[in-house]
Amino acid sequence: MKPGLKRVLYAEDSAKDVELTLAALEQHRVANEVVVARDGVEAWDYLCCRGAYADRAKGNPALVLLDLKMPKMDGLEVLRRMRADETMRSIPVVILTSSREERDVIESYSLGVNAYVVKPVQFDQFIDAVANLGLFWAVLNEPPPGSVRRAA
Amino acid sequence: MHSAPEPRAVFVTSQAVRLGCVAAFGIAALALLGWQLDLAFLRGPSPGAVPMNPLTAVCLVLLGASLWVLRAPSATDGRRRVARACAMTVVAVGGLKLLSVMSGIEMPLDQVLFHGRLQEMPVPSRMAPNTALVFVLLGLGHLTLDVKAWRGWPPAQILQLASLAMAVMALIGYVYGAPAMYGVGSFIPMAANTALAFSLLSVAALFSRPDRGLFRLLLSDSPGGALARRLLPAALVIPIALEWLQLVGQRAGFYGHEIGAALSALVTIAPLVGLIWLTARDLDATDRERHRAEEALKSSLVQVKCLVDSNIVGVITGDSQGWIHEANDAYLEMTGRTRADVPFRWDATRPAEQKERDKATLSELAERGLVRPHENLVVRKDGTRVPVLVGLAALPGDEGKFVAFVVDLSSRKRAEVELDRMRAFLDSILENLPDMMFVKDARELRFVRINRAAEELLDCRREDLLGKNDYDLFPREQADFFTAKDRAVLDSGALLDIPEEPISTKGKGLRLLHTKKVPIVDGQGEPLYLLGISQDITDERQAEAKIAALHEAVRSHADQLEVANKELEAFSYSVSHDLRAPLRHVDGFADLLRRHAGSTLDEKSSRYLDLISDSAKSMGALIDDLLIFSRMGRAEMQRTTVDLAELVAGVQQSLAPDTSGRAIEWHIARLPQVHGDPAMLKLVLTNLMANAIKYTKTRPVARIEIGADPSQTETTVFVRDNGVGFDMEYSHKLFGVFQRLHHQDEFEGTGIGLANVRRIIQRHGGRTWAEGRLDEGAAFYFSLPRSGDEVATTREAA
Repeated sequence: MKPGLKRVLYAEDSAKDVELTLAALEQHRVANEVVVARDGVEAWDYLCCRGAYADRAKGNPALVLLDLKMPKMDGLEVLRRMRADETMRSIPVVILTSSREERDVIESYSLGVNAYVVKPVQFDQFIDAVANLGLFWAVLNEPPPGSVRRAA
Repeated sequence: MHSAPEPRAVFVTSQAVRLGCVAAFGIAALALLGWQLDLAFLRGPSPGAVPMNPLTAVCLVLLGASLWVLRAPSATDGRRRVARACAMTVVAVGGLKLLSVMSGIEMPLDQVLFHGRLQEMPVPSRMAPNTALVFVLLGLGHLTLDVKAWRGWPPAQILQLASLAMAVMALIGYVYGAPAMYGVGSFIPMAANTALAFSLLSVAALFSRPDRGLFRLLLSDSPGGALARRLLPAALVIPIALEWLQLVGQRAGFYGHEIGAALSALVTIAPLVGLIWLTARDLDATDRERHRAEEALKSSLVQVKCLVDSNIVGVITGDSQGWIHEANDAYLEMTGRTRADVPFRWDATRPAEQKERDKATLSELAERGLVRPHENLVVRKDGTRVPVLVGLAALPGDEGKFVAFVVDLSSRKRAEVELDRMRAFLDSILENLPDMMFVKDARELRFVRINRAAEELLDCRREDLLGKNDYDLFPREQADFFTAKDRAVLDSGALLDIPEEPISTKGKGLRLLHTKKVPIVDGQGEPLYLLGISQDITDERQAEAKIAALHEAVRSHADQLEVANKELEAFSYSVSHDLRAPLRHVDGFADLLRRHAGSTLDEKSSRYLDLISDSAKSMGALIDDLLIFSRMGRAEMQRTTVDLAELVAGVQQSLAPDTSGRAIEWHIARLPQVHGDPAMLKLVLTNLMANAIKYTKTRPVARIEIGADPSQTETTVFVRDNGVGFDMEYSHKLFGVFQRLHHQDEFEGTGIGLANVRRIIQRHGGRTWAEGRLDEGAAFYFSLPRSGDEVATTREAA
């Protein structure tokens, strides 16, 4: 399948988390608009249209969900690169992580993250959190120009 | 006026005396030889002339020998006695002869010697009366040589002059052929060689005491002496010689008596005039010289007078009898006297106890003519004493008179006392300095001064060190180092700071010094000395090294701690991130399963799913609490003023969901402000208040009391409830991690809450404790130390 352009880029190394998150997003029917990257490098390849994503349709996702702790390149590094890039600077980024560590929170915000969400242990809360996220960022929020818009 | 003998004249006269003695002796001895060998030409000037009588010859030998002895002042007393005896014998012989002549009594003493030969002669040889007289005169002259002068005329010289006159008269008689001059009446005349011997002996006798009477003038270096020496021989010789020549010429018939007299006068005048003119010219020159000298003397006298009148030093003239005759103002002022007091006795100005010393001074003055300047005391009229420097010089010519120069030393003495005091002051500072101090001379860098600290440090006494240089004391390498630094200081003229230099000491081994060196210069900026001050910094350096080692150890511990902290952080980060993920998955998939198969699940399966979810949740709570607990230990404290009342109200509100449907009586006292981290303190209160709510749930009416008790040093806060309480036996377990006193199904909880409370309060520097009884409620206390501001505020409020 040729990787197409999706509205949400979700970078997460844990397959189980991916499945749970997608299950949560499914409730708002945005799951099929999500492309999943299994680590930071893959996420960055997607954003830069290279490697496996060299042929994808041009355009930025409307939202990027980043896990912090990933192999090869962590979420903060992806965020740092995005904020340093002229064309990706304005893409909304939400950190979705298990870490409550203060320094992670502080560093994320100092790099210009739009939201920092701690994954709750309880699944119902998790569903609420992810669903709200998807609803807000992918559906209600007006993305910056050049982003993929919701299919009418 | 005194004048010294003229040295050349003295030499000539002493030689003349010897010659006279020897010649007279020789002439007489030859005559005796002539008698013995019957050689007429030895006895008299010619065979036909009167010969010298043997007795006369013997007397002449005696007189010549006698004078030879007596002329020398060094002759021994024994020889002098013999010489005097000889002279006396001659006087006796002469006297007897004269007596015989005058009385007409024949005393043939002069016929005893060579009697046979005398009898053979046509005219018997006798001693002439004038010869006898000359013997008496000369002999007496010998005997009275050292008799003192009478009215300036020594008797010996009168006698000798008389004998000389008689001898010369006889000689002239022979020269001119005038027998009346060498013979007396019909008596036999004086022999010609006798007359010559007499003349020589008389002159020698006169010259044997040249410092007396007439000869003092003749031999003096004064113009009179010169005049006498030059003119007297001329006056004696020229007339005799010229008259004789004139007589010879006349007798030979060259000219007549008149012409001869005229020639004689002319020839006499010419040399005399020349001689007188030359002498006058010399005298004139001498007089001018003398005049100049007098002028110079006068001018130097004026200078001396100026010195006296200037009153820079006290000047007096005095005498050994104890009188001060003259004194200048400086001296009078020094001794508290006035001009009206002069003359006064100088011993009145002398301290009584110095009498002996004064005697010694006077005898030194008499002996050496001067007394070197020495320190002494003078007594003022009012009795006070003044230290002075005195020098004395005898005044020449005045027996016992002296001039003294006196300098007032009192101001110098005062300065010396002040100087001594200052020196003692500086010495005591230098000696008591704890640091080594040394001074070296600038030229050779030898030690001239060190203090006690230096002696102790170098472990040697200053007697062994002074006068030595660094090379005498230290290994060559160190000495080179010190010397180079010394030279650098002296050349630059500036202070040199040597922060650290090693020095080898005898007793203490190698020491480290912090040394400062500075040159001590004279008024022109030339360095005289080098001053050094050294501080022994060995102990300090060792202490510093120890401290550095300790610091290093602390730093290494801190580093280890830092590493441990980092590891702990990484661990808790990993716990936070990785441990929660599986729980989330367990709960998530359990929930998904329930949703997915909800209707097909039986009751038991559904309950299992619930238990799975509960377990996952409680483990999640545990992890979260543990993370908070660990974060509380590490998090930065934000210290600020916290309003406890506000904090309690906030917590109450946040706990509202847990209290809904409960009957709770809150008793919240007036709460103070405390100092601490608001977020942390909120966690403390949340824990305590949540516990109080939790453990009172079995009570129909829960009663929760919150209060505070501010003391001087700390604020104690308590939360008390009427809940299930606890057994005090287990109270030590209350604040431990995972320690619970109740079962999970009774009261749920993780067992971390109170551990967190204790950790937070400990980080604030406070304490936690609890009181309780089973089923009778519990009280939890924590205290917070008070800062100075709070204490002041509380006092004002009180």
